[in-house]
Amino acid sequence: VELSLEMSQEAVTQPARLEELYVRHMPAAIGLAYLLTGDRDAAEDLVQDAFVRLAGKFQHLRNPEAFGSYLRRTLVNLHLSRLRRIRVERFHIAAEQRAIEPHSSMPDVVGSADLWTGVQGLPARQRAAVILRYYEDLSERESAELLRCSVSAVRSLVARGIEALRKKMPGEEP
Amino acid sequence: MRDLEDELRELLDQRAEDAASGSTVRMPAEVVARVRRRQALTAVLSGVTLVAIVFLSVLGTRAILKPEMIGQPQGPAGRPFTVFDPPIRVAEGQFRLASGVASGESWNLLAYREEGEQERTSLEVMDPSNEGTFGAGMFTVPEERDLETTTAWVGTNGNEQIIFGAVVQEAADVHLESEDGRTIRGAVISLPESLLPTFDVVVIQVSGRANGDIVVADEEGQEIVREVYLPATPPEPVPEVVEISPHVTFSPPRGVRGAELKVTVEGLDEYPGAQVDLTLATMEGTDEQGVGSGEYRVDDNGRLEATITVPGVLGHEYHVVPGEYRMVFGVKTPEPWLFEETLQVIAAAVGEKYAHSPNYECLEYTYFDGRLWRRESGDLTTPVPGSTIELMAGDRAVYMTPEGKTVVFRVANPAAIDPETYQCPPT
Repeated sequence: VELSLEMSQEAVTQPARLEELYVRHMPAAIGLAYLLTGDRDAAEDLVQDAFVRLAGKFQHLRNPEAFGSYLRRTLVNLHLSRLRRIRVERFHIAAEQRAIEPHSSMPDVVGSADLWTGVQGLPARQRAAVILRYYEDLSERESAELLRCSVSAVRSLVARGIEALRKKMPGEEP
Repeated sequence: MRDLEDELRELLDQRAEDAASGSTVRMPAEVVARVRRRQALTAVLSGVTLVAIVFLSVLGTRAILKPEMIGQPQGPAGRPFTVFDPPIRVAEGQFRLASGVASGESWNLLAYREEGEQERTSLEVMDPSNEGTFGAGMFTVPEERDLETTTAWVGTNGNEQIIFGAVVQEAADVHLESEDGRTIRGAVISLPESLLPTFDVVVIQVSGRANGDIVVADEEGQEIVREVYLPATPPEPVPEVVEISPHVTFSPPRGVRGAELKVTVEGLDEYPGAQVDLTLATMEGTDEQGVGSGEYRVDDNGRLEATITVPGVLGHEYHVVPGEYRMVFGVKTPEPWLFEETLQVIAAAVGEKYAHSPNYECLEYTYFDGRLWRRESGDLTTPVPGSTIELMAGDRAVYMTPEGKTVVFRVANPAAIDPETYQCPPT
């Protein structure tokens, strides 16, 4: 998922380079954002917001070559920050998501519908921790930095997430 | 049977790939414009003049401007903005009078009718997305004066200003005679009849500070108004704030309204000596209160320790109720940085009523005031939007729907359920 960036800081102020930066990082970012949000439109919005934030201060990044890492961090923080702010509506949003999910245009992976439903049903931070661990292949320390919590908290979040998924999967022993 | 973790990896890869393959590949023009604005802001902080950004902003203006603007006649030579005659209706009761670029940023001059007790026409200089305002005003012409202007500094470096305002309807021409000998031409614009205009609008774009006289002439070139113009002080540049993510701990873990809270931050190694402001704000950012300003510094080990009192009121009006708040940490020097942490505030008072959104789809358990509560009595089984909760005693609270249905809760053993995995009983 990590992409290197062979692009000077000055170059990114040019529109073609900006576009190149966007196109290069968009697929991986959309993938991660979709796993976090469970909604493709929301994922695109999230990626665009994160991209704008990051590209806007590109020259101030300590390591511009690691744009992909910065983008991932910004995506996760932005997503969790938004969730915090709408927490009071969490129940209703969750209900809507569950209602919408069966009509999703995303194709189902054969035999994994239950697992996907389970992932989507995980609490936001658990889901983020599971995705960072099993999709982004981040270490516990890296995940902890991203989620602004301790390593032990990440370990607990992932363990609880996996436990919850096992309970949802037919034939899996908790 | 396949291992769940392998299956999960495969599923996540597949889902992410599917989502990415269906996404828009090209960067939307809107994203370009937003990045441009961000970059312009950031450029001020670094002190670097990015010629490319200004160039692109000017070019970008053509893409940003609404299609109906294309082909509109430009103003007279020497007037660096476009006037729309007649003004363009952009929304119900709202018209665009002029547009231009100043300090590398696009601006629109809008006119609209203010509703309410004092029905007046207001003028506002805004960015093209209509998200941000550079300046706005309501005017008294011709009731009290013949000419009344205000200034909008456009852009973050404050180099260019838009002088705009109201003038008597006899006006036909306007210019600024600056003390340094420049004559800067402006425009007089008639408002649409639907705004019930009592005045015309003047607009002048000026580079740099320009003390002088604003001179208004009528159709025959006769000077009808001359007023001294003293430009307002340009705004301080707005620095782009660097966001960082250190480790924050609160002791006790939840803030108690009116009680002391110890705040410890670790991981500020790059900011020894930095002076930190602490602010407590609502999650929506609508109200905030400083809880420590100029008192706290990062030590040589990158650690910050502060003891604050959790306020009972944020700003002038917001009474702190149990719930989540944003603790914002910020410094202005040596370089701006900012981060925040969510603080759970507790200490509901008996007799106070709070809006409450239960945590689960049923009313068996809920978290309130930092504690777990279990239903004791009441027929209602599922939460109702718009409901409230009121502490009746130290360990008893009543949840009430807008229709008056109630559920009584009692404090429960916090270990009674696992908050993250708890499932409501089947109905």
